[in-house]
Amino acid sequence: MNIKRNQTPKFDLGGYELTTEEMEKMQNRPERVAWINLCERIDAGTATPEEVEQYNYRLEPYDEMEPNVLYADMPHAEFEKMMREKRAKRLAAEAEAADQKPE
Amino acid sequence: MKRRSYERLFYTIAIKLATGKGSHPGATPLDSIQEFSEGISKHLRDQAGVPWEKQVQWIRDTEAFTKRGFLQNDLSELSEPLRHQAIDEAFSSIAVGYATGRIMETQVPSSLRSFLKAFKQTLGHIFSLAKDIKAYSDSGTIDPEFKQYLDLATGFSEDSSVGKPLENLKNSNVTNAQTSETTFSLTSKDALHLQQEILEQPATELSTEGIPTSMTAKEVVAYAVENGFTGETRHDVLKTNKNPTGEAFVGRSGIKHAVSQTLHTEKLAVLGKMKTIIPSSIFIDTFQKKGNLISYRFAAKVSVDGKNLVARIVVDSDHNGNRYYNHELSDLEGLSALTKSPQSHQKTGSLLKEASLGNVEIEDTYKLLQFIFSVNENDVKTTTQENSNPESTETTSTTNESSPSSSQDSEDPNIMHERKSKIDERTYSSLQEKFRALAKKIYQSVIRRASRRGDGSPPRKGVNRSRHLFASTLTLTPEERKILASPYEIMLVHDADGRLDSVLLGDRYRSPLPSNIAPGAILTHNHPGGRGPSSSDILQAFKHPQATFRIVTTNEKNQVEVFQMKANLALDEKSIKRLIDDYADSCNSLGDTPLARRKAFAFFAKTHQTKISTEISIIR
Repeated sequence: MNIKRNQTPKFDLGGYELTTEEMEKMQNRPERVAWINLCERIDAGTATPEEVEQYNYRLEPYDEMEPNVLYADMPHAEFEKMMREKRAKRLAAEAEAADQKPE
Repeated sequence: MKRRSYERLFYTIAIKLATGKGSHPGATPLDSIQEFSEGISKHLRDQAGVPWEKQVQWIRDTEAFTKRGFLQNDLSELSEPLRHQAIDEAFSSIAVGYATGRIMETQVPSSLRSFLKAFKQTLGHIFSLAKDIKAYSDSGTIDPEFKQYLDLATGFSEDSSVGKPLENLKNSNVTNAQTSETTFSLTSKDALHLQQEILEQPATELSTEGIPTSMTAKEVVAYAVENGFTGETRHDVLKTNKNPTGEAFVGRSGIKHAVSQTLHTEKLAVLGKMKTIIPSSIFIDTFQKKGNLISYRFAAKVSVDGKNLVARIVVDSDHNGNRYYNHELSDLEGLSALTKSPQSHQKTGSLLKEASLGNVEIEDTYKLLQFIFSVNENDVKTTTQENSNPESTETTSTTNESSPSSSQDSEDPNIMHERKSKIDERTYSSLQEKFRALAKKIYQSVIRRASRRGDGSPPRKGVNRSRHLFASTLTLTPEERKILASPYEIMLVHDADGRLDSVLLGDRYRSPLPSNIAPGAILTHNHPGGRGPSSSDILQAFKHPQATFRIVTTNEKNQVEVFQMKANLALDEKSIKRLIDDYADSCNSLGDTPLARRKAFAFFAKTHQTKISTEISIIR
């Protein structure tokens, strides 16, 4: 059985519909534009090492997500903080394990 | 200029606290917090350029988190000054709630959390400064420095800054011992202050002579009406725009409610004079409950046949002056014999250990009587049972915050603070227990209808919800409606035919995913916090393009929201991460509130409609 869905997504936001102005504002948010440009530079291979580092740092939290868990209702800032802490712990544990490994 | 107005507010409050001068002689620390937070709200709007709509959004988000009402729903009818006043008062209620521990950190939306933390720290500095000023005053070394503070407060000093005078004070020998404490021990003195005020109040002399000793509650009400117990009364604190004279009405229903918990002659004697007791009673506090209901709490000292009693009076009102029954008490013992002891109020727990009356001395010396009235007898309405829940929580934490005894007051403030933290933690844990139990109950009621019931029994046919799931307009299944109320996340897994296959219980912020997601599966989970899809939800939708993801939530306006999404194509991990990061960034830029996520999701869906099909609906 197929899901009956309109071809065009609906945006019934109960009075909170995005106006064209709001859409444009979100679309052209400087941070967003900068991020899209950075992604393009990364793809083109023209990004500086600092930019690559910045790019990797930004996407790091998503590497730490457990595959079968939805961090659904968690505020994004808390999610990021939690994942960064998790990453730091993991890296520390890995470094410790590497130190203890007999040569 | 911006800094100056903030500094003036800072020092003015500190001086008012130290000297007792100000708009209210003998202003308590609570008054000061209120005044300061209202000033901050004004400052944010008038000086820092924060639009009032943004302030309303903060308040609405907090309402969604705390499930309490701070601000009336419709502000459009109010004139600008009244609207600003309402916003300032609501903002102040939140700030006071946070500062006194009634509102927990977890109940504050992230957009406001850092600000409130800073606010609380600043208050600590203000209290510290107030103590310093007082110490200067007491030691007789006040003149030059105090002049400086007054100058600062009144805005005469040109080269002022917050740091300098604080630094001067901290270097002073007089104040070294006292600047260390920046916690809210003054709040405890607030309770003591109130207690003293009650004890010093002249008692209203009453007698039980002539009052029948055996009556049913119905007879009591009839007796009260016959003997003129009912009628108008007033209290200055009740004065509002809609009630300019501060009028209240002791009516049949109020009497019925007052005696529904306990019935005894002492109470009837007090009830007989309630109209004259209320105007001279001492105002304890007020708080807003869900649905624009406002409770005013008063206490009055009475002496019945020579026996000292404290009457606690609650007046409930809404913005229109309608009356409401307080269901918080309705769970307790119903009508019973006249001989019942007032100590049965112990069973109400939170009410007896009320914020400012929860003092041991009062309990030892005086018995506590409780009365509930409302501002207006007309248009009787009833509130839902849920309305009482937030208050139970609130009063518990308030008790923890301010229930000092004289012996505790002399203890090390750090120990006091530690104790408070422990109690708060216990309250928090007990709340978590309640949440877990409720979530489990909902989970169990839902899983009974699933194919796999998680109890080892062989799979059966789960309930078929294709009618709801495949409807042309978004509709909730009965199970989806059920999980809306769960304080923990619950995942419903439907198969491609719309049958409920399995149910998984998560926690407050996370939901488990089934290990195998079959093609055509429909996965619904709830968001207890009222927010829309997270970046993680979208990531999983892209990782499992064979499935449809549905999110149900109750937003900040108590409307049910449904978000449905299904990825149209399989993307590589890098692209998914970029997309969801962009989405998370959009949410954060708007404050990551329910409204922010709604807008960010609409934007995301429109921008990436070739990659993902979405539907959003708000079910009113």
